[in-house]
Amino acid sequence: MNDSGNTRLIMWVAQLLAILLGIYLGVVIFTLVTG
Amino acid sequence: MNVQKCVSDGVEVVRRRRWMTTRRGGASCDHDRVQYISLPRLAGAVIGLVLIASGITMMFLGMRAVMDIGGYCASGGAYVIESECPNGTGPVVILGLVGGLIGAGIYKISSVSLPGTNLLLLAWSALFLALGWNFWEYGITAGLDVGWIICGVLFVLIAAMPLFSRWSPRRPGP
Repeated sequence: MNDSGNTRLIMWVAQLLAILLGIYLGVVIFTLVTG
Repeated sequence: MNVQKCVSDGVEVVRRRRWMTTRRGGASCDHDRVQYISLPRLAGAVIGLVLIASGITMMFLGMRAVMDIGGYCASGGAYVIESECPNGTGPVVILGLVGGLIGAGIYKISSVSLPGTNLLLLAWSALFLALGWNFWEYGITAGLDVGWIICGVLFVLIAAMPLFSRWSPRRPGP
């Protein structure tokens, strides 16, 4: 992907989704481990 | 040779060409300011952020589980334990800590040449604000506990440290 006005938007969306996925996985792992 | 030359402020700059990036010709370093999203680096940044966020979440939840039983606990050993740690709390907090640190390393390496905002230092604030929230919540709702409120104040101050650094969240770009 080369540079365009959308690169920052792509980064923001990707990072936001990564954070939300991480929180979800954190809750799932905590629930599984502590049972 | 995989080397690029350009001129910046009258000084010739020679740099090694970055992987997966292209340069649009010309002799001005301004072209280096054109930023690209490298898919492997984006994937690394995403994986790093997932590890950081899941690590902070696990530490947050593990801390709450311990605070639910009074704020301290122990497991194993030869002595009789008054407050046994909730099942799996210790491993999950350690897992969150190690996973978060590994994720921070992966994100740091991967996000170097990516455009946009670098969130790494904000992870510091996120961690201490999340844990500080627990101190505030348990210090106020479960009867006024000055000790925990002091810890909450300290954690908020620690979380605010990036505000006083010379760090800029914006990567150099156009």
